[in-house]
Amino acid sequence: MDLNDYITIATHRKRWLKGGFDFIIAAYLVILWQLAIEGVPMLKKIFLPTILAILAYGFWISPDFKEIAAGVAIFLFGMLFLEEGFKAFTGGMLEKLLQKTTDKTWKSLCFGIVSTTIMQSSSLVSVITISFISAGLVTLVAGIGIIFGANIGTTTGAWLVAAFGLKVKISAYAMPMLVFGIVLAFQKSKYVKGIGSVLAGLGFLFLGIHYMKEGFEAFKGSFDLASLAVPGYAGLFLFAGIGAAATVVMQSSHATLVLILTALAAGQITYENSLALAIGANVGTTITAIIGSLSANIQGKRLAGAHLIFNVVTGVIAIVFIGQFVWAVDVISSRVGIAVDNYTMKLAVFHTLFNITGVLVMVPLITRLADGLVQYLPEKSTDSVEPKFLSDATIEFPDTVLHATKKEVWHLFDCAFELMAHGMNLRRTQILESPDLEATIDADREIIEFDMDDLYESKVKVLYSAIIEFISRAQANIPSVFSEELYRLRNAASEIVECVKHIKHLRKNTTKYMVSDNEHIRNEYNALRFRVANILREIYRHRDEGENSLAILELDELKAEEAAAHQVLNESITELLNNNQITPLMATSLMNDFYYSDETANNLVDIGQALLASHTDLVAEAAQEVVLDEDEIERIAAS
Amino acid sequence: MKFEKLDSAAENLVRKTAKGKKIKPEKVKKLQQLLGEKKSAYEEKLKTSMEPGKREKLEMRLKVVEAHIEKANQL
Repeated sequence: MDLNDYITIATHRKRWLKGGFDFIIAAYLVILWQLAIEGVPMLKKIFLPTILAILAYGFWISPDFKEIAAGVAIFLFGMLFLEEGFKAFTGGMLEKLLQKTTDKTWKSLCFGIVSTTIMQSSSLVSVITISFISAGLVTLVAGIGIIFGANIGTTTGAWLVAAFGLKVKISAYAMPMLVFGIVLAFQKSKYVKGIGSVLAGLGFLFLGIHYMKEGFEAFKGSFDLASLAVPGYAGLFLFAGIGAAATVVMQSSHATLVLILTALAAGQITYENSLALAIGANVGTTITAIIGSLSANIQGKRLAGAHLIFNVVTGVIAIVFIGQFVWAVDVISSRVGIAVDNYTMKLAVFHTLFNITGVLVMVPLITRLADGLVQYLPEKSTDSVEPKFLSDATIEFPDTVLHATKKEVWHLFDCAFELMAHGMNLRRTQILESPDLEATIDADREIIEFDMDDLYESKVKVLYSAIIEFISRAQANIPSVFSEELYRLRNAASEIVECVKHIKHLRKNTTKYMVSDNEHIRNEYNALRFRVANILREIYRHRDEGENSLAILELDELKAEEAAAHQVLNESITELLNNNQITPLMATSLMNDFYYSDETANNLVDIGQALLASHTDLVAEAAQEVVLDEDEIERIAAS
Repeated sequence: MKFEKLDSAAENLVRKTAKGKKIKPEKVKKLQQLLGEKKSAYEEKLKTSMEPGKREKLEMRLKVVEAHIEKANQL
């Protein structure tokens, strides 16, 4: 072969390679389009085989592409390790911090910035925020604030890679980090394991960046991606689309940005293209939040919607005002001493600048955005009650699991309250708002007609089943220190169901005797109604009054009163029977129903103590230690 | 530091921050103080309450609070 033959082969190969990359880009766009028109189920079917085929084709045509792809894979593996590591610390610490720092928008923003800067994963922060919103621990506005902050926090990654990762031989740091990290990751303690995973994660991140850098350096000699550049707005949109698609595939804007930075540093893409790619990566990252929200409740979906709107609006602003942004980046760069040709650092400046601009534009609209999302993504109204706070998004975070479960058990209690009240022919308002409950019950003769079985099926059983199923799944994931509390809540849910069943038994005779002409039996049944209604009223009073460290102990007083009433009522039945004031049939009904009201009263106090117990108020926690047991109550009642 | 020590230090840290920790003495004192105030309030009410039904209830409540104080003193 002479020189001309070599040139001909080389030219063909270059065309072939270019064709290969055109194919990859086209395939990315096809995937994005399929996602848009067919939704996730379709994506699931075609996603994996398509990606594998593209990668296999890429590896076959280029060893350098193989090195870059391996770099991306190692980088993503590092992200997984890093997220796993940080999850080890979410058993209370992060949740408590989040609760304290989300009462104001600026605090939420700062939390988003700081947590994402530390964890270097806006996805993890988004998923945790979705879990918190689903559990009802933070408001939608606060959640949106955190997401906005996370968008600024994630830009620190670009600074670190541009300033440090591309200039220093970071693979030298990666090796010891990996060794120490893996040794620690094999330890028993959850927290040491967590530290190990974070170290190993950082090691893999560094190693991934090193391989990407090497790959692009070698790639430079065989193929010039810059030749694909398209001028003007068409190019901007094309590269923004590629950036978004790449982030959708990798599920990490961080990884895309590092890829962009390494390609830019190797001169594989132009500065202008890199800006568009960064904008696209920002939009593409919302897919992680959207996927995370699929298993979340409506609040989680609203947050994912806010994330999408924010990133799309920010992306559009960045594209429309690209000229102004480039000018601003040049001005800022010259002020802070970044060289005119240091494009990687300039890209980091651009990334931060357009995200800050997005936040500045969107923060004043945060409440309107939240209202709009509530309006356009309304709660499903169905005949049966659905769980409000239980969500798969919370299941990996123990403190959140506890909060979500407690709120759901309260929700169950609210639904059961209505059934119990109506079962005793009382209205919710009568129980909660009457100034003199005893007098109200004595004067009340209204029979409330409703199908108790039907309401039980649609309002109580559904929720109860969901709670039991959720707790069973959660128990497999949470540390043993949280299990006891979860067990108490499961017990409380079971007792709520028991209460409804007891009231169902009580209802028949209550309905009959509360309107009886025999004032003695009427009074006895009204006493049973008062007994149950009064405890319900007390529990709700404590709940609505808010923080009261002694609330659960005050329920002990009710328990003692109930135990004393038990003795009095027994004596009263015998006396009424002896005086022929009630018939033997009435007496047996009363004794049976007395048992049901007794069980209901005791269960209600237990439920109240489980639900009013606070694991954040330390005095209340001390109060839990002095709650009286059954024997102690009996002794006091008998004395 | 040996791994075992590091491990136990981390476990201690967990115990301090998670549930199941020993109740701090100042929290027990605060609880004792709140219960003491409650007891005094019931005693005051008992002095002025004449109705037998109400008196019985108050006496019962007072006994419960006294039992709580007794248990709190043992914490």
